[in-house]
Amino acid sequence: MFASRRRVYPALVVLAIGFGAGAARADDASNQQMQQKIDQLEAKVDALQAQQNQSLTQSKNQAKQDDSATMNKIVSDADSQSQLLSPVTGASGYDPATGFHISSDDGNFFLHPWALAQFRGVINDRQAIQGLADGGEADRTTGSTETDGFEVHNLMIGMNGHVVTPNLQYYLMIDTPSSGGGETLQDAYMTYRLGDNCPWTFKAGQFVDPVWHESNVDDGHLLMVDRSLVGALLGGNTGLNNIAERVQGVGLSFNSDCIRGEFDLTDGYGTANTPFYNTAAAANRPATDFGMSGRVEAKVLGDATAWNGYDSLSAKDDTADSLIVGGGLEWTEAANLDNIYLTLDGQYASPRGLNIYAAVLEDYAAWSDRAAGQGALEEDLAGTYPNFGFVAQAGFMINPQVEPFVRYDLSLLNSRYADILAFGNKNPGGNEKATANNHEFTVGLNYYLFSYRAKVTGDVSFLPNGSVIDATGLGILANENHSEWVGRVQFQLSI
Amino acid sequence: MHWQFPVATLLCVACFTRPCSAAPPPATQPTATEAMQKKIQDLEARIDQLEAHRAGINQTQPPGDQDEVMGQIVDDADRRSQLLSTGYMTTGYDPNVGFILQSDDGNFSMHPSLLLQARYAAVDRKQILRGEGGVTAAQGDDTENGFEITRFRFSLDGSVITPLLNYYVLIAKDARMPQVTLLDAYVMYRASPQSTVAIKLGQFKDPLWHEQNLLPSRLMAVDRSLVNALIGGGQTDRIQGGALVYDQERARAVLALHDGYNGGNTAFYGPSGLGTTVGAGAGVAPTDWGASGRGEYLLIGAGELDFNPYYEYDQFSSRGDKQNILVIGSGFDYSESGADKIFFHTLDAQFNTTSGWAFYGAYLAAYRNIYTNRGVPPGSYYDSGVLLQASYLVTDRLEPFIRYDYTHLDGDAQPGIIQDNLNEITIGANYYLFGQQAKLTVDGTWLPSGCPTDVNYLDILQDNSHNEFLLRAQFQLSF
Repeated sequence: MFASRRRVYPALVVLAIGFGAGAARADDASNQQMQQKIDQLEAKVDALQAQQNQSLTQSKNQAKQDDSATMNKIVSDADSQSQLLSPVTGASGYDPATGFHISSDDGNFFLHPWALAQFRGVINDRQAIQGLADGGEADRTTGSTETDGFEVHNLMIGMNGHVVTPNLQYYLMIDTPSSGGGETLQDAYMTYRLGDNCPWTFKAGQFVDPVWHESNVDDGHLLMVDRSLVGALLGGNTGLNNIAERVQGVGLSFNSDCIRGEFDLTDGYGTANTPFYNTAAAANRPATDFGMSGRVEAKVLGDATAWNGYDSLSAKDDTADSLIVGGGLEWTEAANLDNIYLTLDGQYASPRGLNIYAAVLEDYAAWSDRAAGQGALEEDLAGTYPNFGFVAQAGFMINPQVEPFVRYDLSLLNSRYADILAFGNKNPGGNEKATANNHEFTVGLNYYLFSYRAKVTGDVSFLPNGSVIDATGLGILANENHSEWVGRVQFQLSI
Repeated sequence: MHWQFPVATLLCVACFTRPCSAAPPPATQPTATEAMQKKIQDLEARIDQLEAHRAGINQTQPPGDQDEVMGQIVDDADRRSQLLSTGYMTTGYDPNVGFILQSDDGNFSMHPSLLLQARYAAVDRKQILRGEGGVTAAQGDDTENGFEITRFRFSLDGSVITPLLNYYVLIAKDARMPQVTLLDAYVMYRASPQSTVAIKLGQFKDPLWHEQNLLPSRLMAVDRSLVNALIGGGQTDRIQGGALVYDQERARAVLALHDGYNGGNTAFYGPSGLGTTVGAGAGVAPTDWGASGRGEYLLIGAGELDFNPYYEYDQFSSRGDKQNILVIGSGFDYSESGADKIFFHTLDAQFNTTSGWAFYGAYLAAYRNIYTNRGVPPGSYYDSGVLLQASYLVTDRLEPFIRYDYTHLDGDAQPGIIQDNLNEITIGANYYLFGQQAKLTVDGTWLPSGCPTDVNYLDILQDNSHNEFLLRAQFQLSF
């Protein structure tokens, strides 16, 4: 076996060299032809250039004779305007692709302020809520009940750009979420690319947990009114206001034409706006010790524009077919609580308007007995809880403005884990059982008034088993094992 | 022999992955064929351009119509001039200021600024006594570590109506803040460009401490000193009121009247001052009124206006300094809360050289006379401390430093304090990636007597009278 390998590899090398030599001879003949063509073209350019110079000289002389005073006035006026502008220079203004921006004339300093506002109306109808505990905390009730209202779902104000060099970038965003709590710092990080053409970039600050693609796509480029319920239960978006989870830490990312990757060392899942020491990010969460997150994406199909299309879950403005697959992993440790999140996903987009996205998600919770100082988990809740889910969705641009879509997602939760989510840590459930299998069917329509800058989205969701938790950001309220309907209409403005 | 398979595998991988370059633009040289093809394309494009231009010339109007054309140009220029004078804005980047939007006459301007400090901190505490673990509630030996956005600050400043009327607004979401918080909001008016006096109104830093007056981006170590936190600017923080600012060739000074120390974001009847806490200001609240002042004098250094002596003084480092300077300063704050009174005072000096050395020393103290127990028993207390620090720019980018500060808190004022003499020893280094705009700072701190309270923004956690060690690494971006 080894002997045969020894014969095969030299043969392959000789074959490769021979192939290269043949190709080189063919190139020589082709190069001679091209050199001749270059000579011809250069001669033609010289002739045309001479003609142009002659014409310009004649025009200038004519203008001088005709109205030298007027020309002087123009020059003087231009000079005065230049003096007014000279202290501050830069290519600033509005770029349709970027938005408002301020820039230095050498492009080394760049500031891009932006805002995203989402105004939403929601109607929720829950059937046969059995007990007060089944109705969740957001709107405690029993029986069949309908809840509706309007909200400013998100008002995000941000800015990004670079300073000193395009390699040193920053990104900041403050959100005023509908879930309350006032203005909240969401993103505050800087990145430094380790060289002009280097694929490696260092990152530090507070940023989106990079594991899940659905969370990485910003709120203005989703396909539906909002993200999926499975993302809220097993992924990177919280149901509370359903924006993507943030982490604090440092990371290293890799960007090439066909592969992107990121690895981060963090304080753990959902630790935005926490100090360095271990503290719970929210009242119902344990204090995490540390975490590690990573994600890799590979372009299977597509040209250089594919990554732009990948930053949206719609096919709007896509110019080429693309298929990108990705996977992410996170390990978060909190004393006696370990959670391992895993996801695999793929997105296909076509310039004909079709966008398909699918993902599988997993959250493996390994909880041991309560440790000293760890009060988030009662002793009798220790155990290992594997939870799985998936989401599949598709949208199609009927014309440049109208895009119907459909989505189905399912969360298969460990029944004990579901009870803990629904009823809390202390004696969860009692005689009641939480929804372990959370189905969500969604259909709807996007109407792009002015692309993503101004769009209206309407959708309807049906949850045959209700929802194990209040996911108020999705318009979903808890209802254990009974059906629920959700209707949402949203107007989005982005500048 | 066992290496054969991996080598073959690597070759295969290399072949399959070759179409996908590691970096967006190829770093390698193009082949000769590619270069020739590119040149042909360039030449063809140039020919198209020249031919289009020639066609344009042929279609121009005859000389007889040129008067009309010139007239249109003049009209257009006039119209643009009018637009400029009535509402045109210039925007861009000024190296001396930063990003700026301003009217063409310079009367209105706005300059956004940002400070972002992302920090990793690790704290090791020894022998924490029961109930003395502070916010973490730890006891015994404990180690805490993690990341945080220590400071996120966004400010707007500029002028309105005239360059003499300035404003400054600063909001923050630091790690110690539960939500976005207003820190500074004031206006300042100077009577004329030659005037040495200006008036300032609003909410601003209590101006007596030099270390506190410096922007957080211009400090030497990762953060300010413990003595500043327990006696200095950490106690007085922001005030609300008015101030007279004096600024002449070698001297500058400020005198403020206000609602009392530490009065940021309070209503006119609101509770300025500090109640039950550990620090030199504890127990003097709510304050009725206060007065603050500070004076600074340039002993060494040129004082011409176009050679701003205070550029060197507005940072601890000597980086970018164009002259040697020695500035001495002194400040005070007197605040009253009924019969309770407090008098903060300080004396400091800073010496910087163009060779890269920087020294700073300060004495900080506060005298309290308390009659009413609002967290502190009645009595007279004197808390004091000193700060010494030095640094040297080894290269234009690398700057090691050392700092020592000592704090004496009167233990009778805070009976819970076991050790009222606190020492802090810090060593570290700055690495200036792009000046103060992007720098990395790493330091280590030893507190032999721990600290009787949590000081979150310093990453110091409570450990009353026992050893505490800190390691901090911070990346800073500011513009």
